[in-house]
Amino acid sequence: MIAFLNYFVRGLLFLVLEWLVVSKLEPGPGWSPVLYPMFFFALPVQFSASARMMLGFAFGLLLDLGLGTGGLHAASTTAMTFVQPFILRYFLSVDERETNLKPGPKSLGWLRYLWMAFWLLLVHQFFYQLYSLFSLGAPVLLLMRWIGNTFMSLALIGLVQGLFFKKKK
Amino acid sequence: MKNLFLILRKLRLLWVFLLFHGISLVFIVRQFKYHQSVLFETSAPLTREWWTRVKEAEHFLFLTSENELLHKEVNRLRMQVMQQQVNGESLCWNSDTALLVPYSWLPARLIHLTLNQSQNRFTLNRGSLQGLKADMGVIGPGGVVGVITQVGPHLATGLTLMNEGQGLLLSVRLKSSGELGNLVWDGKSACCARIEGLATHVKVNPSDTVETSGLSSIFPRGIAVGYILEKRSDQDVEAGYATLRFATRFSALDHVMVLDYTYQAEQDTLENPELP
Repeated sequence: MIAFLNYFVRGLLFLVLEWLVVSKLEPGPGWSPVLYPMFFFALPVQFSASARMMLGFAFGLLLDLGLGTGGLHAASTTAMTFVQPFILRYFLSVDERETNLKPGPKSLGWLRYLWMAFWLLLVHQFFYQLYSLFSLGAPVLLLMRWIGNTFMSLALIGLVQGLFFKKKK
Repeated sequence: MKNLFLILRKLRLLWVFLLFHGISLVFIVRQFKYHQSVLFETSAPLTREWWTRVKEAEHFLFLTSENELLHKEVNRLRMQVMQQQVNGESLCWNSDTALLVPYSWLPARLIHLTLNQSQNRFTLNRGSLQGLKADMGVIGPGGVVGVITQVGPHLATGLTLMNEGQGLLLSVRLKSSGELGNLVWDGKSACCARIEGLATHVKVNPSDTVETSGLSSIFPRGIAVGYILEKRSDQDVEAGYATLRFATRFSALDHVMVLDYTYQAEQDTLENPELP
């Protein structure tokens, strides 16, 4: 119950943070880094895949409601949470998976964590940018926004992890 | 089937993903006008293509009934043409004289046809219950097909023009000159026959139309029988022959029309008064 409340509060915090702060960070048109995937990265490894996806969809939808972005975040978060178990399986050893590990810089190490985050953000941003542009007529623009936003989000997540979560250690 | 369910169950995560993704896409499209216009532009040609295919399939499925309707229309038009011919009119249509036309038409379909016998026969899907009688003429889309010889309650059979000997003797005439002759099939070719009894002075040109003479009660005058195939040789001129190609393509025959001469009985009585 405490763990559930903990996740609930965290989720709410990320939601509010995204609504009020991160969504306002727009370095240029089409550039929109995100921070909230961090919340999903930190979910325990043994968290059910379907529950993870449902959570992702609900979270994304709430975010879309607040930001007026239709279902952009819902679609991209659903896609990210769909592939997350497969990526975790690739990044974590059998032992790590059995100990119900919570992926983070502390448990995985910075390099592995950022590498995992990179792949998940790549999926997230691909769908986000694809549905934002809603066209395959400008592949270079799509590629630039996709890769650019992935790195910007990765940098943001790395920064936040470094600033806030390291101190807990 | 059990395996299919197992596979579907195994992929349940994918189904849930596709469902959520689909719902998200619906929200996106509903939210943004740009997305709506892009979707419309993309889907319009696809929708058009889809409905074109559906319409084509529908047309194909209803071809039979459309064919029947066309056949009725052809019947009606032929009737009009014949009415004009009977009344000596060439262009105008006079409704007062329409009732004087002595022929009516019954549509039928061929259900059997021989092409490689010396006495080639056909069978129609109609019989006496539908008003068919012996000695009724049968014509197809191209021209004369043959004559009914035997009639059952539901079916009728007859001889085609491809008949060796005296099975069917048809009186014909050249459309260009009006010269009379008799049609004879020598059994050598499925496409050709010859006219006998032409006078030596008659000029025959290739492609001249040979039509029914109207001198029998079976066929009215002016229905195509064939087209002259070639110029007459000296031998043919001497013998009074001319070779023609049948107007009817027997190998591709399906719908036909049976001619019913209204005054058949009256004519028979007058021409053969000794018959009961």
